[in-house]
Amino acid sequence: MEDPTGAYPGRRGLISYVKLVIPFHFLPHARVDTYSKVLGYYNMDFSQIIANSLVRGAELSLLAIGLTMVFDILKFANFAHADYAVLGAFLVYSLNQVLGLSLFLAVILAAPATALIGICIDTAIFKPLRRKEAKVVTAMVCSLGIGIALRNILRLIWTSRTKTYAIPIQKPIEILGARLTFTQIGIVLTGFISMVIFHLLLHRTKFGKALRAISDNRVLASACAIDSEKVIKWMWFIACCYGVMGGTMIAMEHLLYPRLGFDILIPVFCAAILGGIGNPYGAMLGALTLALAENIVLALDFSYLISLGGLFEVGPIQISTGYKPAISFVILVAVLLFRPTGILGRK
Amino acid sequence: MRRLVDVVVTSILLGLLINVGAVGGAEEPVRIGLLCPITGTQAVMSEDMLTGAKMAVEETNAAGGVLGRPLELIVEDTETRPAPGMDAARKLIGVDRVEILTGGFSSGVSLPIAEYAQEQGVLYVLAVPTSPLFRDVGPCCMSITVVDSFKGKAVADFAVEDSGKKKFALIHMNNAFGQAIKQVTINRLKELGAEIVTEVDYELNKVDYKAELLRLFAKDPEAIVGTWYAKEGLVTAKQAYEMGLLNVDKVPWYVSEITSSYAEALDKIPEVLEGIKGLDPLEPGRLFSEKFKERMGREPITAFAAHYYDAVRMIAMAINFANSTDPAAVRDTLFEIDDWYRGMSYGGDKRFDEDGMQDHAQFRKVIIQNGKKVDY
Amino acid sequence: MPVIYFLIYLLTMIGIYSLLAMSLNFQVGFTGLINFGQVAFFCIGAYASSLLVTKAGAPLILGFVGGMALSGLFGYIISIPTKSLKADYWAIATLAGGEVVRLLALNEGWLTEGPFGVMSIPQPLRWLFSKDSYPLFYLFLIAACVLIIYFVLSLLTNSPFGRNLKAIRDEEDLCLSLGKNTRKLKLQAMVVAGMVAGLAGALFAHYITYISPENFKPIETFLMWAMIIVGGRGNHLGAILGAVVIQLFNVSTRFIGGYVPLGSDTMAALRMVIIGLLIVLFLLYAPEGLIRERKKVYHLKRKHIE
Repeated sequence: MEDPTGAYPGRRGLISYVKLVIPFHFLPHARVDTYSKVLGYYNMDFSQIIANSLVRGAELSLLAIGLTMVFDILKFANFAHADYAVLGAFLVYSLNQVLGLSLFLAVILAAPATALIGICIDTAIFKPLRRKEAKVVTAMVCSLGIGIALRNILRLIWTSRTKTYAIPIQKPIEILGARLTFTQIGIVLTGFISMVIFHLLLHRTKFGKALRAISDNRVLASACAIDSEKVIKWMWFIACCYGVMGGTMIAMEHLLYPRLGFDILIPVFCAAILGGIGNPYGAMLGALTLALAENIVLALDFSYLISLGGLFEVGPIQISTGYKPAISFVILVAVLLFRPTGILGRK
Repeated sequence: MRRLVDVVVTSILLGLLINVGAVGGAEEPVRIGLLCPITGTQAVMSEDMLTGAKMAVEETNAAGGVLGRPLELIVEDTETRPAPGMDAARKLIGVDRVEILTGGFSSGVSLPIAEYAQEQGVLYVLAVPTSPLFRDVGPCCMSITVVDSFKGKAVADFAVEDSGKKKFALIHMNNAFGQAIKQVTINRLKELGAEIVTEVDYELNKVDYKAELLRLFAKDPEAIVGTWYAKEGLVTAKQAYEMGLLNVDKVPWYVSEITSSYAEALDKIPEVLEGIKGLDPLEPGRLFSEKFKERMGREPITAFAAHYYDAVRMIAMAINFANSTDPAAVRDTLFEIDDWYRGMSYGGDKRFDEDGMQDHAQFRKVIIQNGKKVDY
Repeated sequence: MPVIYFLIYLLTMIGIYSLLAMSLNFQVGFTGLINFGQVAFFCIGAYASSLLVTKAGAPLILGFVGGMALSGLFGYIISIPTKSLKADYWAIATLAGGEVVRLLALNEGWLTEGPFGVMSIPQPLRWLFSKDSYPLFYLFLIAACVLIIYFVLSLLTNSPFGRNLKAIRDEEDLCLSLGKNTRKLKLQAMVVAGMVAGLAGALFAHYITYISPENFKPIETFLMWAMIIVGGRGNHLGAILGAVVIQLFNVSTRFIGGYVPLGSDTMAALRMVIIGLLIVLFLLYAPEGLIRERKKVYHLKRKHIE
């Protein structure tokens, strides 16, 4: 079936031909046509799956980095983190639509504004808890309450109506058999550049040094005259800015609505824990792994495995699409059970 | 702290009592309860529904009201969740003492309410929910909308007849509404000799449906049949387009209800939907659309406005003819007046079958051309 | 008088939520286990009981027992990882676990009827009562359950078992060093809590007579958390008071709605903002909640030391 318009050349790209042949080459008796049976797609678009995972991974990793930083330094899981990101995305929306600023400029203004709100919340709520030396779980439950309140404040201000940024719909372009839009390519590039900046921040600045010192040993750090409260403020600043970027990307790619924060919370947690708490590179890797898993699990056909390599006749066995939201939950629980330090280990 | 407890508890109890006291009076209007999903759905939808119902009330009252008294709606929000929906229904029946309920949206929310109404002998005239399970609830549950089975069957017929294809892939939301349509569609497609290569059920309120879409197209389907709500319709259409999957010349798309699936997408990305075909309820009566526009400054976006309008109008008419608000009498009268009531929704034919449901429906076939729905 | 029926309904729901809050309080307030997936117990209890009765044709009492047993079993399963997981990791895992349970109920249609939900669930002793007196009977049934559970839990928490649990909550390492099997204690606590919440689920299912996966979304867990934080952790009365306050608060917006010039969506959002803020403010300024935990103070007797 050829496309008469020529807009979409055949759906098989370079990488799709290679399929997943390579990883199974070590199996002695496997024939070529059985490889493709492992993946349920008769014309499995492997390159498209990789591309989708890269985009999703870039979005998630920007959120996961902030989460993992807060978890590392303040020792509690911030359930409101994704809601901060969505707040920022809404600010971007207002700046873009109401004041007519370009998206880029809107993000530059909205990120520090959100960070300021994040710091205010820290000063009003988490700092007193730190001073009281409350249990870490208290801060965690507090953040749950903040998340609920914030989500509904967004609903009060912007109503629950779905929003989209004023980006015209784009024709996809084909790269190595995968179809991507310029927005998506921009998202992947921004994600990558942000990670490089984060690396420089962590290793080339005084703040990064102080942050790593506090992460290693807080008491020792304060003995070395590191003002931990100041560092914590900066940490919130960075975490929120990265969150806003991630949130804006998700809103650009998909939709923006007040409950978005809760809907992406578990995948973000999953990415952060998968990578190992306190490990920013882990967060990136975790986000990519999760994104790949989310995209590939629905494609897998387990009949080849169940039939013990073709011994029995088994019809296609695929995971029901209704379980797609469970993928990140199950991975999360599995990682917590079997390797709570994450794939890269703790730092 | 103890004083705080006292204050909180007394103020809440006082609030309850004031309301209870306020009920009752000499020249009181005839009240019917309206269950509307104001929170938890798209704002446009609930605005449509509420406006439709209010228009019906105003027209009724302008024409002399019911039983010589004004008609009044008591609107309660079901929040599109079963528990608050039940709160709302119990409050309407228990506190406001309404004998007739109408409205509703999600079948999962309305089913327990219908069962409770049946037990209490309160008449519930469904305006939007379409699960076939409502048939089994009992005589107190009636519907002015078509149950799922007809929509699923009609879209299967349309898709096979129009495309002439044999291999279909289906995509439906994973809730009572979507799954009921899916079952009927599958059965009908099989009857017509078509093969179903993939079934995809998607969870609502997610932002990324790319994996589901890839699965949908994995086994080279020749045509797609699907159902969406406004938000998910927008996201899936955009993502399918961006992955180069949405190409109706090669793989035609059939949607069981264009209006509710693409209410947002038609507004925001109409160029993507070009050539998608589907069914739609017959255009709400022209008169209704004009009046709606006069009032709101826009045409009704969903068909639900007309459903709510019809439900309230029919109830008001039945109360007048029955000369009572007794649920049983109103129910019997509804069976009598349905022959000559011309509705504004689904072509206007509102005749009930023996279960008080609608077993016939006319749909129009539409195609999206130049960003607009046109008859196909 | 129908208003009475509405009040009876409110009290019944408060009773069901009291059970859930007491169960959560038993985990959080006594054992220090942070469970964000509490709604899973509720879901399992409701589904197990109603499916046993409607599909397997078991007698109602067996349905209730089965609901409690399965829910307790789930408590046993999810408490296994507590031995190796830190409290906050475990909390995140339970949030995910709760959603997985709901997704199972949604997708395993051959067992649970999937999104259509279980309909026409029979009610206990329905034939004994008229339509008008049955709600009152059910209220008494639930009140009796709340009372029984209250006394059972009080007995448990005042026993050496309960003191051990509190020891785990306050100083787990100390508890371990005293030779207590904290793992077994946590297991037992989770099983008890699971059974209580499972009972609440069964009572709910047989009261409303229709359940679907939509009933068991994470927001229910958050409401239960608001209840125990407002009411006060570490004592059972606090949990009950919390359930009363939050349930009444939730319903009250339906009544003040007519007097406040705000849209319904605004009111619903405002209500959740207040619930979120209540959680934060209580944790900050009144961490004990409305009813303070009575802590026994053991005075050292001088002569023993000397």
